[in-house]
Formats: sequence, structure tokens, C-alpha cells
Amino acid sequence: MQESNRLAGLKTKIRTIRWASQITFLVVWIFLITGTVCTAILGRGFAVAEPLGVLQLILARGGAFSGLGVSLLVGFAVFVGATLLLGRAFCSWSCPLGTTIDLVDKAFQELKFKPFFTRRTAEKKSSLGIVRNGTTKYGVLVSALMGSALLRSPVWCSLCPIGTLCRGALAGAELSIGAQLVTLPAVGALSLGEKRFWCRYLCPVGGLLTIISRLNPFLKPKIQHDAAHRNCGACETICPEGINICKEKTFARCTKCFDCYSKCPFGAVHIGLF
Amino acid sequence: MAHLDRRDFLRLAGVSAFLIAIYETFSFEFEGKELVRPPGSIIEDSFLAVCIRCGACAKSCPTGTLLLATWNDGFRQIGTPKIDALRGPCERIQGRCEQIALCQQICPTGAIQRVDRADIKTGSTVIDRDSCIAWAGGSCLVCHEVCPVRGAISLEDEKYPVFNAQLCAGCGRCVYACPAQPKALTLTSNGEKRPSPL
Repeated sequence: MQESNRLAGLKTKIRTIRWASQITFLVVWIFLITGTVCTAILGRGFAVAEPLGVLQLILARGGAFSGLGVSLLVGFAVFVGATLLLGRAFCSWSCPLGTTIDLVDKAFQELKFKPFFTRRTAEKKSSLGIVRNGTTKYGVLVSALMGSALLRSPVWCSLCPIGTLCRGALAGAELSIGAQLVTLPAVGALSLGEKRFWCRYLCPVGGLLTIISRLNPFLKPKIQHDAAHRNCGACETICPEGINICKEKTFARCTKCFDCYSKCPFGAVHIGLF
Repeated sequence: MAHLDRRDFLRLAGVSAFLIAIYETFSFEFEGKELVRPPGSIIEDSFLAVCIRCGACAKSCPTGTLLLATWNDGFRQIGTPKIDALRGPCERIQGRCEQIALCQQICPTGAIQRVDRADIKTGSTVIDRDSCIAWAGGSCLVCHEVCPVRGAISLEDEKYPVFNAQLCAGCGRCVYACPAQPKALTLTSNGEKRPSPL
């Protein structure tokens, strides 16, 4: 009995813990660490490097690894390793852009604004289906990688809103002279359509992490198949990635935010370690 | 396959037109300007392919002269480091980075390599005699006083500064110190010497 009470306490606190993690990482990535999420140098030869950036560099140099710097490759391995262990946890617990978008979504929620696509009825939900489609982010990912190989420079880094956010915060007043002013409000405006629109449909970093986390076996939400479970599909609207737990098989898209666990109206979702 | 009806098509067209308008407004350029790079930066073509745009060099720079390029510097340049002498000099030649250049030490990709102090040449300073206080007849020798390289700035008639582009190491000390309004000196990447990639 005590055990279940403690678990119930944790259930309501998960979002608070995640906010704390997100804000801490936001400060750490942008202000405390040398470098940014793109490549953060933590010590002698030890780093964390965002894998899309590294892949773009390798392609931009015609597939050459030599002379790239050991800490960069170590950082790549660290990030990929973390993704294998924790799946896309980076997206919902640590990504500075994800945190910013969450703050925007939170603001909309406080203002009682309901995002456009969640207002529609079922048959109209296919609106803008060409963008609101599970495969769009892989298109962006492939274009970024091919563009880097063709143009001989990491082209996505120039556009990437994660990088823009980090570098913009770094540049301070310099931010005002670039069209960087446009990138971030545009990404924020996408949240008018649906919560975490950018992360869900467009972010190529998320797409790459999804591919890697197909191999991640841990921390997947499961349905308790007992009386409590109603097959109501509420998890699909709760989930920032739109996963229906009953139908989903791989859970590669899952960002481990555990919203389904804490918000399921019947308490039928639990998180299995394996 | 996603279904695209007429309304969706119009919406997409509207969004595209909006994006194109933004790029036109901000005079979007692909290649962009020639920037003054931090000391030890490899040759430009390789630099653009190797730099991961993480900003570690700019964060580690003790004088704050390293800035990250924005859209205004060209699409390919966004996020790459540049020396902005108006914000401070590069102290690799003389000052806090004499022992070890922090940007060279921190760069995780090898875009900025460890180069001997004697081999540094990030560019050269150009003088606009019309704005110069000394050439206009005033008494000002600030650039000559702060220059760390012997012979880079010589004085004609012990009064007028003359710049030697070959000897100038491009540290930007004189540009930062120049008291004229507007500045009589600009730092350019002319004559820069850059190592080839490993």
C-alpha cells in the first residue's frame, strides 16, 4: 500500500522533475559548458557531440574521418551510446530547443489557447498532411546529409534552430542583426498548430535519434491489460509524439517524457525497464 | 500517402511565399563575405567543411574579439568564428594568449589548429587616410604605440603612420585602439597565412 502511494506521488511529480532537468540543461548547454549542444567540451579529450553535426562534417569532407579531432569522435560515441541506453530522452529532458518549445506550449496553455490541429474533427485531421506526416523529418534529415556532401559544408548547421538558439544566446546583442530573429519565432509559431510541432514532424536531429533508438530496449511504456484499460486512445493526444501505446510496436519515437504514465485517465500505463 | 487538397496547397504556397520574402528581405547570400578568422584556422574551403559551428572558440576567447558569423555574413558562414577587432584585439601575438591560444586548444574538430606564435598572420590592417587624425594634421600615434610587431607600422616624417601589409600579423590591436571617429583602420583578411588541414 505504502509502495503504491509513493509511486502515485512520483506520478504527479514527473513533469516537475522534467521541468527542473530541462531548465538545468538549458543553462548548462548555453552558458556553463565550453561549446554548445553541437559539441560540448567537458574535459581533456572528453566531449558530447550532437551526431547530426558530426555526420554532416564527415560527409562534407567526402567521408574522411582523419584529422577530425579525437574529442569529436568520442563525443559522437557518447551521444549515440546515451541514445542506445535512453532512447530519445535527449529531446524531452535536455534539448534546449525542446525546452523553449515546451515553454511556448505552456504559455499557450496558460492563455487557454487551443492549438489549431487539435481543434479539428477526426476527418479534417489530415489537414497539411504533407508536413504533418511521420516521414517528413527523415526527408529533412536526408536533405541535410546530401546537401552537406554536395556543398562541402554542414548546411543544416546554418539553419538549425537548436544551434541558432545556442549561438544566439551566446552572441547576445549580435542576435539582433541576423535573420536568426526569424528562425526561432517561426519554430515557436509552429506550436500554434500543435504542441511540439517542430520536434514531432520536422526536426532532423530527432529523426536521426529515432533511427538510433530503434535499437534501444529500455524504458518503454506498457499497457496493463486488466479492467482499468479502456482502449480510449487518450495516450495518442497526450503524447507529444502522437504515439498510441496499444498500436505502437517499436517505440523508437518515444521521447521518454512519461506523460502517458502520469496522465492516463485510467492509470493503465506503466513504464517497463525492459 | 498524404492527401493534399486545394486548401492545403494554397496554405503551403502561402508559407513558401512568406519564407522567400524573408530570405529576400535579409539579402540572403550563399558564399558571403571574406571574414578574418581566428589564428590557426585552416584554409577557407576546408575550414567551412570542418567547422562544426559549436561556438567553443568564441566562448573561450578572453578578449571577446571572436564572434560567431550571422546570416549577414552569408549562409555558409553562419556560426563560424570571425575576428571583430572593434570588440577587442586578438591577443595571440601579445597578451593573454601568448603562452597558449585558447581557441586553438579548445577546437574539437581541427578547424583551428595549434600554430606557432611566430607563424600567425590572420590578415592585415588597412588605413583610410581621410579619417586618420595624424594624416589630417593632428597629433596621434596610438596605432604605432600599441602595435606588437616591429616594423608593421612605421612613421613617415615621425608623424604619419604607414602600414606594412607584409609584416602586419592582423591582431587588430591598432584597430581596437584607434581613437578616430569613424575608425580610420579596418582589419581585413588580405595576406592571411593559413595552415592546410591535417
